[in-house]
This record gives sequence, C-alpha cells and structure tokens, in this order.
Amino acid sequence: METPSTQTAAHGFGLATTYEGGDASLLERIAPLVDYLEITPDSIARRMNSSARLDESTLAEIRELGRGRKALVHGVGLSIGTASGWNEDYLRLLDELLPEVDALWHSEHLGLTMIEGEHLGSMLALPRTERMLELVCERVRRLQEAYSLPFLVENIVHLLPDAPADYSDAGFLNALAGRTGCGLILDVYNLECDAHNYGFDIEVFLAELEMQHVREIHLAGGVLHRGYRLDVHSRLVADSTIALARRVIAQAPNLGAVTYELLPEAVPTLGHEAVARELARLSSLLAS
Amino acid sequence: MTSLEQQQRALLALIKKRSLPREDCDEYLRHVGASDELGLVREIALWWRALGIERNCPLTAKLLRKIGRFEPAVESFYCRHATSPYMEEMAVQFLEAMSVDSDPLMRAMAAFELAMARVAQGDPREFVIEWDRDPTAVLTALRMGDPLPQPDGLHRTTVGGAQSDLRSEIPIPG
Repeated sequence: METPSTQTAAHGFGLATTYEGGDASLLERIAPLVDYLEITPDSIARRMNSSARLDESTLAEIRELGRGRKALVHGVGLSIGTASGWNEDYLRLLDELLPEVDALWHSEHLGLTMIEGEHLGSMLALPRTERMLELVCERVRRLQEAYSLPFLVENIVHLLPDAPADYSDAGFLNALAGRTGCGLILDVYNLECDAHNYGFDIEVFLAELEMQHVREIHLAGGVLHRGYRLDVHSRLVADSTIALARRVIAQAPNLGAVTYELLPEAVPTLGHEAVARELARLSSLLAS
Repeated sequence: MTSLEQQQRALLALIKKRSLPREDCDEYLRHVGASDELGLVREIALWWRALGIERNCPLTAKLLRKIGRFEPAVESFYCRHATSPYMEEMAVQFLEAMSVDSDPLMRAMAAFELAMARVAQGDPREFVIEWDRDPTAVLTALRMGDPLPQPDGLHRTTVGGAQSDLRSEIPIPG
C-alpha cells in the first residue's frame, strides 16, 4: 500500500475525499490535503442512447490526477442485492475505469438500487437473511475473481423498516467478510442516521463487529428532514461523527483510509475554502 | 412468506404506487406499505428526479412550476416510468413523456426542449413544433415572471435540420 502523506499517516491510514470531475479549482485546492481520491464510476458516466460510458473529459482529468495518486473506486449502482440480477452496466463502467486509475481497492454499498431492471432512485438496505447472505457472497466472489483488487462493502442507512432477519447488522457483515474475505467500509454517519431514525444501538453493533475486516471509514454530514436524519453528504462533519470515527480508528487494525464524502451539488453552497478547511480539520482531529 | 424476488418486486410496486398482487403481500410488506418511511424513500427519489429535471429541462420545468404542476408531473413520471439513473437520459425520458401531455402548451414546450436536446446531441433531423400561442411571448413570460399569453392561433418553431442553429418562428393566423 502506498504510504499516506497527511497527518493521519502516523496512524497508518490515508485521508480521502470525493471527486467527481469538472471542478479543476476544487481539485487544485483539495488535492494537497488528501492521500486518495474517491471516484464513483456511475457519477462520472453519461448514458445516452442506451449505452453508459465514462465521460471523456472527466476521464482525462482522472488520468492526469492519477499520476502518483491512488484512487478509491466506490460504486453506487451495482445493486449487489437485487435478486433478479445485478447491474451489468455498472460492471462495464468498472471495466472502463479500472485500467485508467491506480486503485487501492474498489467497493460498493450493501444494498439495492434497482429491481427487475428498474431503478428505484434510492438505495434500500438488504434483508439480513441466510438466502441474501448466500446471494451476496456468491457475487462478491465473482467480483474477487474478475478484478485483481480487494473488494469492500459498505453499510448503508435503513430507510424502510427491516425485513425479518436471521442476522444482526454486525453479524451479517461479519459473516459476509468471514466467508468471502472481502473488506468492510464502515460509514459511521450512516450508523448515526440509523440511531436517530429508529433507535439503532451503535454500542451493541460496534461490540459485535469484527473490526479486523474494516479497511475504510466513511464520514459525512447530512440534514434533518421531517424528523429523519438523511444521508445526503451535503454538510461538514458533526463532532459526534468525528468522535465515533476516532473510536473505530482505535479499534480497526487494518484500516487503510478515512473518506470524507461530499456531493458535488453541495460544494457551491459550502465553498471550496470550507471544504479545504474541513479536510485539514479532519486530518488533524483523526490523527490526534 | 414471499420469495426474495417477490419481496423486491413488491417493494418496487409499493415505492412506485403500483398495484400489488394479493399473493405477493405478506405481513412485512403490509407493514412497509403502512409506514411513513415508504413515503420518505419516494420523497428522496423524487427530490433527485426533480433536481435532474430542473437542471436538464429548465424551460419545461419552469412552465410546470408556473402552472403549479411540477411536483405532480415529476411524481407521475417517476411512478409510471422506468426512469434512468443517468440524469441526462432521465431528462430526455421526461421530455418525451411531457411531449404527449394533454395541455397543448406543455406539449409544445416539452417538444421544443426535446428537439433542442436532440440537435445538441448531433441529431441531424429538423423538428417542427406547433404552438397554440406565440412561443417568444411564452418564453418572455417565463423569464420575467409575467402571466402567460393566451392562445392566439397556430405558431411554428423549427429546430435543427440543414441549418442546425435555426430557431425560426412562423406565426400562422388562427
């Protein structure tokens, strides 16, 4: 693994943030502050006339920034839990992107975004059943065979009430990582959303989760809407989220990266300087 | 107990307000169907569709807002169509749907914006859009926030074709 250069380096993990292309001045401002850039194939793709392709100008930008900098390739549209079949379009984008970047690993959300080929426009958590675990394990193994990179899965927020389950949240992640050898991304802001929205017990979850599988932490800030805390990646990171991340950092021996996720739509509101200040603050707080 | 596929099909139907076969509906799905969170999932999806539509079809979106139909039109589009996750493609789908709207002004505006999108993507065809009122006055009213002009006969706008930047209007007395 490339040696991180930010203040977090002494702890063995690098700092990362989202970049979706098309904002050269933002990139210039944030690049010196991070070790890795999180790149989402779906977000830099255009689909017209029934064919999805990576945007050429963004790809050129990524090729340029790829020189000497590793990427964290993080998908949103694979829909790994769709029973009728995952999204082959996403895999084609991954095939197109991976030769262009020096990726540390690639990852996806443990959820579903499409059903029978129809996109939901949202992401749903998976039922934690043995049947679903078998399905996801089989697909993770296919990804591991197809790409010579580590593959990580991320916990997502539970928007709908949970389906009857055979596993707890942590138990499902432990079993998935144990059976396949995949790594985990622990999105600590998602844990806070679940705790706020339906009383999810973070303490119980962290006590049960096998921390050696955690390779990356995600941080974000969101909004309250109708009393629900939403995972929209539109704000700076709350102190409570940073505190939770620090607890996980102290317990995760194989952690490689902490990523501050921010929607490009939120950047004009926050401003480039605020984003840069936030990255510097995170680097300092997470390293202390 | 439903199978995994049945359960996911039923969730899609619930989210998109479609009818659900009785045999697909178990206790869990009835619980989801009655939950406040189901509306939240739909709201999130609609918020993203609305953002994409406002960005990629600004004229049609502005006209819909002007006549108080934006939110219902976006919801109807989302619930009745397999909308693309790619915003540019979704916007074209939306314009196609609105170009067969029952309101002739809405139909014309969506067809106009759809034609411009297609020409911008390199479509060599010429598109003729028929309006029931002066399109320049409609666009001015939208820009200035003025009341929309009343129907006053047939007007035609041509987009694309041999002169790909042509935007001519030929008012025809009604």
